[in-house]
Amino acid sequence: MNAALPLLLLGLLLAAPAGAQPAVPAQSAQVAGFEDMKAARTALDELIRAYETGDVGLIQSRLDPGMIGYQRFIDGLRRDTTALKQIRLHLFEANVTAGPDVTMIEAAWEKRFFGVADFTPGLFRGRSTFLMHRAKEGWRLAAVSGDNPFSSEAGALATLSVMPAALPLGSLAPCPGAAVPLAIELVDPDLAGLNSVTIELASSQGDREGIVLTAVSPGRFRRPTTPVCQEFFAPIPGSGIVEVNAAAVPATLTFRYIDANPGANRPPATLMRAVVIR
Amino acid sequence: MIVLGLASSSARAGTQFSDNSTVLSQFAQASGAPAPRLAPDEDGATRIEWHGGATVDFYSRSASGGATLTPYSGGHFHRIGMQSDLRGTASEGDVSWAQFALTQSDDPSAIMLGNSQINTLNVGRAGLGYRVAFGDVAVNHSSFGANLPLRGLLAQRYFGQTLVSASAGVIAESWEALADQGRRRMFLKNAYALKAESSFGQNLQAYATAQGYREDGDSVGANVLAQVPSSGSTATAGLNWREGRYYLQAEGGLSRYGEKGLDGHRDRALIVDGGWQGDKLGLRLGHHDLGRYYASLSGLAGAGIRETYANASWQAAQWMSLTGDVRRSENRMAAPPVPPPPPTIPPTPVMPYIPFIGKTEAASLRAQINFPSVPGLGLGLSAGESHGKSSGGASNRSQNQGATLSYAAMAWNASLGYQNSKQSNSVTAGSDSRTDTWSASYGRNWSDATDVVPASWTLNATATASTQRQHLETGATAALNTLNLVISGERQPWGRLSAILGGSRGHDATGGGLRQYWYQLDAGRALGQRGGLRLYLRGTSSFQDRAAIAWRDRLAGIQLSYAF
Repeated sequence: MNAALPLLLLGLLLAAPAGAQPAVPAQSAQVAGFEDMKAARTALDELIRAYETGDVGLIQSRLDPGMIGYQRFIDGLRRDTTALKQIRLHLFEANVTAGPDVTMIEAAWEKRFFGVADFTPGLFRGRSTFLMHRAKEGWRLAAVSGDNPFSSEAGALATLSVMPAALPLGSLAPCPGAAVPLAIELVDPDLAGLNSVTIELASSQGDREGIVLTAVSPGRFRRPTTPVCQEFFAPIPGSGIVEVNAAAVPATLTFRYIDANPGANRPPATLMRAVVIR
Repeated sequence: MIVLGLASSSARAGTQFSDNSTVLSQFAQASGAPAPRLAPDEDGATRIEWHGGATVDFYSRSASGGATLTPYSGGHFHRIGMQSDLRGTASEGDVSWAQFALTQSDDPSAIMLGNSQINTLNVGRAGLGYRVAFGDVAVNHSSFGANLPLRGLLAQRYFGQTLVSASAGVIAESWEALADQGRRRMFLKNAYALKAESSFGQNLQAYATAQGYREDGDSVGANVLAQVPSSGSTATAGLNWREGRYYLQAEGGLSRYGEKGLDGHRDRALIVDGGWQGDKLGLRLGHHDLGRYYASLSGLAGAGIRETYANASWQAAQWMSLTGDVRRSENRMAAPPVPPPPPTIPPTPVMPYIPFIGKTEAASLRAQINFPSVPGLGLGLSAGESHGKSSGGASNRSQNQGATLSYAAMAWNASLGYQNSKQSNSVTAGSDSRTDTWSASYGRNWSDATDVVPASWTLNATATASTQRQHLETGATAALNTLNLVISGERQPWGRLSAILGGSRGHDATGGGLRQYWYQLDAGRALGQRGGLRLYLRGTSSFQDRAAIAWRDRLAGIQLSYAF
């Protein structure tokens, strides 16, 4: 971003002479207060309780039918109430920004639940901005940007972790070799209900493989080990095993996952983790 | 509330009171709350008002179950909340303000990182034709442009009939995260947003916006995030038109989006919403089309959506209203992004998650009937269905129906409801199921109020019961029966008291028993004109006979509050 342009425009705006004032401008001295913020937060809390109890009808009645992504939101909401039981959504202390007819509530959240099939407990974390608009009937939810806690499929940014961040070459067995304790975890609430997910692994030496992670709870996928071995020739992409040319270390293994649905206001996001073999 | 008077030698008394009442009505209109009290000074002075308050909580909690099952931990905690709203109204009606709210707590379930958080920090000035704000600013430019909270500067000003709005700042999780790298869980995002809007006659407004952002990849410590920092810029143009009973809103946008070191994307978005509002019938039509890589600063703009809808609200008779909605949407966002190179490790077939890719058609209808022959008796009916299909052959279906019969009299009310829903998804068939829910409630209130004397005491009691059965396609069944009793009362000048007692029993789809109970007791009374005292006790006990999922928490606390 070139910061000079907006700063220049701001400067011009503030420096404009008072004589430029219109005769009858529409801009009034409306200033939101803490009562507005409290009322908007109360309306949001009501939606959260409705989500926890599966009252989709109440949430639907508080949405504007012109909301972008309305059907995606409602379908995801219905699927959550079916697939996730005993949902509890915990909001941490929120930051509230209010304008004359809009209140924006930013908060981190944790969602706890049990999967319907086997009652496996699950935990999702995220951070959202709830856009609340003032309507005739009171404060309404206009949109959720960032991670959507109400509707898993409406988007939440995944997290990818790989441990450890470095491996000694000596820990790798000669090819075809055994799996090394390179643990991978992907948490993507949008994928709750899926049994497995595939991420991409590419090495700096030219290897490229797909790695399948298995669901341990709805939306949480793990793999405790990864098949990596060492040899003394160039790796073969797509062989099913990550071959590391021991004559060309250090080498970097890059794990890549593209979250296609990371939430409103975010196009597909690339997640990457790197492991160095030396 | 504190009201101070500042002498204004240039202001005449008559003019002063007139301006203040205008401002007060603007406040009331803007906030939806009673206007602040302004006592006129003898010399017609400018006012400074200071509202504020503080609450202090001390509480003890015991908790068990672990972090996966409960957000709470045991111990003795405190929580202090403070807020301040300082405003000055100049003789010409311009308002200056400084708002601040802070929470300090040692309870990790209240504040995720650290032990204090600024909830609101905002200073500014607004008047006839301009507004300047600094701190937490709500940028609300358009659906596709900028619509987000920003920590920075907002300036708006009218030039003739043209409003120019500009904002620049940083998108950060909190003020604390902005100041301390250790508290960041996302990249700092530097952003700007510009908007120019002009009126053309009484009915038409047109606007153009430009905005951009860049994530600072160095703003978060190494290995904290797996994300690749991104940047984006957007330009949009739109219009708002209203004439008589017709209205139309439209906006189009172009964007560029890129992730550091990866290929960039250009995309576009279009939105058109219009309608007609009659005395008894309201119609809305709209079409939204946002590209998969459309990047904006608006929380309203979800990428990868194409949808068309029609919505109608009809007051068919004095006793019946109907709301219908049909829509067709296409979700292009959840498509599997990068097919992995075959074969996979282990060589199992990859099942892309595609529940809502492709097109979804949905319809819903709601009716509210109030029986004129039996005042207080109402019936609400609802039905909806959506059906989606992907190009890969996957499909999903959702159906729901419901009815609620309710009756409200002076001293009591009751309701009986039934909901039925069916969900199926060819990709995640494990949770395909049909759910039936029955619910009933009975409420009663007592007081000593008469037609001429307000109540000195009130007592309310509400009992609710529900039973839910979920039949999975696998043949398993989950069931849950819930009872809840709420009692609340108030007596002047003693104070108020509320109590909740509830429990549920059932079994999950594996046949394992589910037992929960909960309670809450909350008592409060005023201390003088501005203070308050509150005592509370609450607890939840869940699944104690199943060690793997058992969790429990109990809390007892006291709160002191003061408001001015």
